[in-house]
Amino acid sequence: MWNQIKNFVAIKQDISERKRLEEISRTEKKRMETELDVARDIQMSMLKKNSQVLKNQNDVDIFAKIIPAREVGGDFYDYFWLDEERLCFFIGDVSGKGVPAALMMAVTKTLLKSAIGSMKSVSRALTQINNEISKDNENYMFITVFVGILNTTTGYMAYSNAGHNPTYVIDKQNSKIKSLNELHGVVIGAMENIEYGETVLRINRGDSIFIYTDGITEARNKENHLFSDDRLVEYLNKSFHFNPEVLLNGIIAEVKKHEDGAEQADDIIILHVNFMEQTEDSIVDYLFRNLQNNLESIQIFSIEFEEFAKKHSVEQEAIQQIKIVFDELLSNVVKYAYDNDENHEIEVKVRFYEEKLTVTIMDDGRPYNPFESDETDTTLELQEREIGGLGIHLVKFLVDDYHYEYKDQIKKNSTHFTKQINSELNEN
Amino acid sequence: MKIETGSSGDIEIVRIIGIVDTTTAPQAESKIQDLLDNSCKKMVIDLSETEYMSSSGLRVLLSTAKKLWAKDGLLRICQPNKVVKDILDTSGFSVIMDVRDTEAEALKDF
Repeated sequence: MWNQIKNFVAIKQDISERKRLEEISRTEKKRMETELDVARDIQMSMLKKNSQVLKNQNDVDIFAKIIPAREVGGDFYDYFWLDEERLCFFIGDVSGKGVPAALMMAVTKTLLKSAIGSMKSVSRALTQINNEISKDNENYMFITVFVGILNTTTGYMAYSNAGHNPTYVIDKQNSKIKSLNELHGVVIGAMENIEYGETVLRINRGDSIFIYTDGITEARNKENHLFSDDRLVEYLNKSFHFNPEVLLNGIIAEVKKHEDGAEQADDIIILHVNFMEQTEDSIVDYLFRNLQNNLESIQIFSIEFEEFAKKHSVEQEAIQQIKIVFDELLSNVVKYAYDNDENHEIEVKVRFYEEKLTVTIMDDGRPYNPFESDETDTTLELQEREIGGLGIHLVKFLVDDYHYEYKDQIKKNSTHFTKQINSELNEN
Repeated sequence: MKIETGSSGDIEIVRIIGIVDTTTAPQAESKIQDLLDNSCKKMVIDLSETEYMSSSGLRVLLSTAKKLWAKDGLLRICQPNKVVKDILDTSGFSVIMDVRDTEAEALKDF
């Protein structure tokens, strides 16, 4: 009898213990689920909505697709205009999952956006945020990033890839998918003092840039087979002519079909940036010319520019001022940029948008920043005056904003200025 | 660009019509040089029909003034339009050169 009672007590204790463990496990599960919700909230609140179309000056059409996994990871993306002609976009993937990944994603995205905003250079922005993140990275988390800046006036895209999957450029004209394979540095957060590089590529109007996270290519089916780069490229090759929404939904459908019921293990983000073909209306907003490096060519351009400006009802005074600026900058290039007598091309891109004229001049002459030359001292007496240096002084006076940069990748000087225009029509 | 010349007493009048930029400035300079070679000491450059000038145009004005000065002569400039006036002002030329509103004023008491 006593024996029996002892046994009974033992059973009862055993049941209590099991109940306690079950309770702990339930609480733990609940806690984890809450944590996952928190992580997802952090991630989703940081990202723009699923499918957003961004149109600016008939230039760019952006379409994004996000599908978070149940156990949320740290994928992120963003896009924004650096100025009226340069669009920045990036995509990234933080290693790991849950709250730590979501927090790291929030930090990285914020740092990156602010670094690019101030430095306006993809390589320097990555170099800086890598140093910042690597310094106190005690959890050894790392982040893959692809970041690009597309200049919609020149069509040049500067991009840098820190350990991220290759981006694809969909070349519509030639029906080709080009893979941007190069890496410009290791993943962000791995090691301090790494200099990230960048590549500059000409993007044609009509082309699209296709960026994604590895949730696509590493989607697995129950047999553990990956969706793979090959399947993605194959799909892009046969479907690139679809509009972005159909294309992106199609990819997701392909991925789901491949998974065949297996759970999606990782977040998926796809970003589709279409550098739009110009419509009849927008063409007149641009004047693009390749000039020869001689003065006659500058004169012809000057006349063409005047016609272009008149069509936009730019008042005569402003036209004359801008023609002075062109004379100064272009004659500088023709006279001083080249060591030899060979023919060179000077690209001039003028755009007129919302009462503002934006001009970019690119030449392959020796690197030279015209705005750094010494200011003429305009207070000197006539006899002491040096002849020279005046031109740039006039340019600075006549435009609202100017900057210069040397494009290492394409070995070109890029001189840029803007001027606010009050057209005659609007004054009435 | 076109240059018309005339005179009023011992004063040479140079009227610059059109645009003075890198391409046209050398022509303007050589026309003016011809006058300077002919013992001209007083000169009025009339800008009333000058559309605009870039720094190459300013250089012509400056070198003309210096050459006249070197032989105790004088240069006056007159009637620049708004664009040219702004250019003269910002470059400091309005201060160091004698700029008059009208040709009549430029010829007075010269």
